[in-house]
Amino acid sequence: MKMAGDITDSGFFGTEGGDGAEALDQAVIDLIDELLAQAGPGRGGLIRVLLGLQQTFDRVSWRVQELVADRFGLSPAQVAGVVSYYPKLSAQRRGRLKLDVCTGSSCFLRGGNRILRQVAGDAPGRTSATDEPRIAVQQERCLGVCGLGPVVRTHDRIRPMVDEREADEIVRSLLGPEPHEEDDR
Amino acid sequence: MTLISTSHQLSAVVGDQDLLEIRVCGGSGCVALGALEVLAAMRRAADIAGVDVEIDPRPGVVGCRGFCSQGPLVYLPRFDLLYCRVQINDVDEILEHTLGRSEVVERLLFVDPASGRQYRGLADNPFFAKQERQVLARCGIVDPENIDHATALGAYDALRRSLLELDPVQIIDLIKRSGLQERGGQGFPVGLKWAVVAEAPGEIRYVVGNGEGGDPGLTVDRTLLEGDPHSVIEGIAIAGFAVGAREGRLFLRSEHSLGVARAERALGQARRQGYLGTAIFGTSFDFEIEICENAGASMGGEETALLNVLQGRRGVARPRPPFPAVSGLWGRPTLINSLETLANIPLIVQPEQLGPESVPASTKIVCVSGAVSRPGLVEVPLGTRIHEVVDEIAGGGCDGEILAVHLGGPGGATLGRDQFDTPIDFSSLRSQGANLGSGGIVVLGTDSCPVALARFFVAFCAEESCGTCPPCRIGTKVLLNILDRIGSGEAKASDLHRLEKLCQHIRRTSMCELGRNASSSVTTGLCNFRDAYEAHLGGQGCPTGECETVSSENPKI
Repeated sequence: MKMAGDITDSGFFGTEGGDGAEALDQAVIDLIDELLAQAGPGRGGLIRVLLGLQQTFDRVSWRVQELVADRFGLSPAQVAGVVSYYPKLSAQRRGRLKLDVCTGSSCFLRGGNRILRQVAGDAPGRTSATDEPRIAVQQERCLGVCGLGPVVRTHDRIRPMVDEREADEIVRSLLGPEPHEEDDR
Repeated sequence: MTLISTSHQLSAVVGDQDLLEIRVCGGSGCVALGALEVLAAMRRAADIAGVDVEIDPRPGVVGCRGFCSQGPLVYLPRFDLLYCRVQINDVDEILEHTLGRSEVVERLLFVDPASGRQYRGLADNPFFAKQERQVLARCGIVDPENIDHATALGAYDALRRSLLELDPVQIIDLIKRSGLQERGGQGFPVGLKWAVVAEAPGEIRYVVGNGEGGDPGLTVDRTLLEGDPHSVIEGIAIAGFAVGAREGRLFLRSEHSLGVARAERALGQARRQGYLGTAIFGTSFDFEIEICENAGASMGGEETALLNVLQGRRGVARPRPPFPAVSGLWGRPTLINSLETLANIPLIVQPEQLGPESVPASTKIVCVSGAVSRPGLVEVPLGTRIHEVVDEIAGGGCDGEILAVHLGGPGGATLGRDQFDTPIDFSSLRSQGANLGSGGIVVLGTDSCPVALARFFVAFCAEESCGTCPPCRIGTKVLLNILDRIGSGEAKASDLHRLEKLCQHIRRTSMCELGRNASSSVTTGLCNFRDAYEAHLGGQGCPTGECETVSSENPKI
């Protein structure tokens, strides 16, 4: 998506009237319309559109929420209500690198919670410039691979039978040797 | 049906009447363990060896056999050989020895961790021998991404029969007579539900396939979608015809990305082949199915919350009545069934496909996980006893004795050894204060603590609670506090009494199933493992130390 980086880097309340504001808004609106076309008309498509935006920008910022509200004929509060409810949606950026730790009942019994505590407790790799976490650690309810617990997912790869040492390695390999490699995936 | 060899060289060895198949499992588990790499290596090796093998150009795999702990699985139906934990460097040996010389590669056979015995194929393997795979009949045999494989084995025959030979009333009657009960939830009679939706006033109706099991330890939905998505799609279409709907929704968890992708592909193929769309089989029946992904709220598996998610709202519960069957999606009559329920439908509508002794809708898919030596997903006849599943199929405890099983996820029950004789069916389990839920069976070893497990499930309910009704929103938090105090040893005997009263209160006054059942892991734990709770009291804390690892210090993310 062109200019995606610019949009996500806009201020907390959006573009705040900079010169490029309208162009950025337009880019988001185009994307919303594209997602809307796939989702079909009506409010039923809202969550699908929001998931699409979340995937592109790694968050659904307040400004983007306003634009979505406008497109759906809703109030921004209604959209914010939806965004704040679902674990997969967020107004703030969580980190580009995804690390999901399964804590379903089987993984829990095999130590998934310990792994979660370990990787989240390290608060790994905050960038000094923005203090945003580089790794988004998420607790998953069940990744559906119960025979292989505890499992951890990085992006779309599921890693089976993770122990403490391996979790450490996964975090390190996610962060990569050079900071600029972090957005490669 | 991955690698189809038409080579005369190979078929000379194995006889020439049939194609030689190699089935590489492509479920999430096996993929995580490297199944796709194994598949690619197999293609390359066949090329290099100059074997004249005709290879399907797409990365074709088969669905999950539920034996994930032994993956990646490679099955050779001709020899009834199941190779486990196959890695890239085993590929040459399989091609050379088994395909080339019909020899068994002994070291890749399944060795039972409990007994040390070696098993060759599916027929003798205790994990498979006691199963009765009806709903999962095609799973593990067909390529889920190729509709021709599914239709060759009977997919959409039941839809054809429904549309051409039966009318909606007859179908609903068939479902009623089959005795099919909802797989998941309280086991509501499915035929009755269909009849209510069909008779509800209004022109527009909807059918929803609910793929959000709401159980954090369950692979049933995932397995169906990844292994045989057409069985679910066919079930929804038949349901649509029977209740008079023209639109269906497939409500899926976004976590099951592979399953979602395969369902999407399957829908596209079904449309192209005319099993969905307008004038299906030349009749006046039009039907379309759309996939809707949940954005991570497990609560969305509750029927009324699900409707809110589909309508683009916060996934909170609605008061009932009105029931979704009368006023559901956009206020229209809506039929909501779990994926497993829907996958049962084609079996019922097409009874001639089944053997004379097997009755349709008589199985349940359960997922055994935790402290057992052969965890996995199995389909067993209803009425199979808990100990048969846990001891015979799953091979008993992996580190010593089994202390308990927890059935039915967060709203389920913890049962002790003396209750392992209970048959797995809806009424027997209810008499033990348990319910089958969507079929998760979590096994606890003797080194596990029932209090920690109860706390885990209560924490799940507390976090997933939508917050609409106070008994669930506040009650689960208070439960959690008490359980934490018990876990850390600060609790007194009177706290157990408070715990019991609070559980009853939450059960009686909550609005939806999530709240009503939120306390059942505690109630059944208190009933069946009271001594474990009492051992924590008076400053003693958790004997296993497990409670400390799950206390509220857990990171909130």
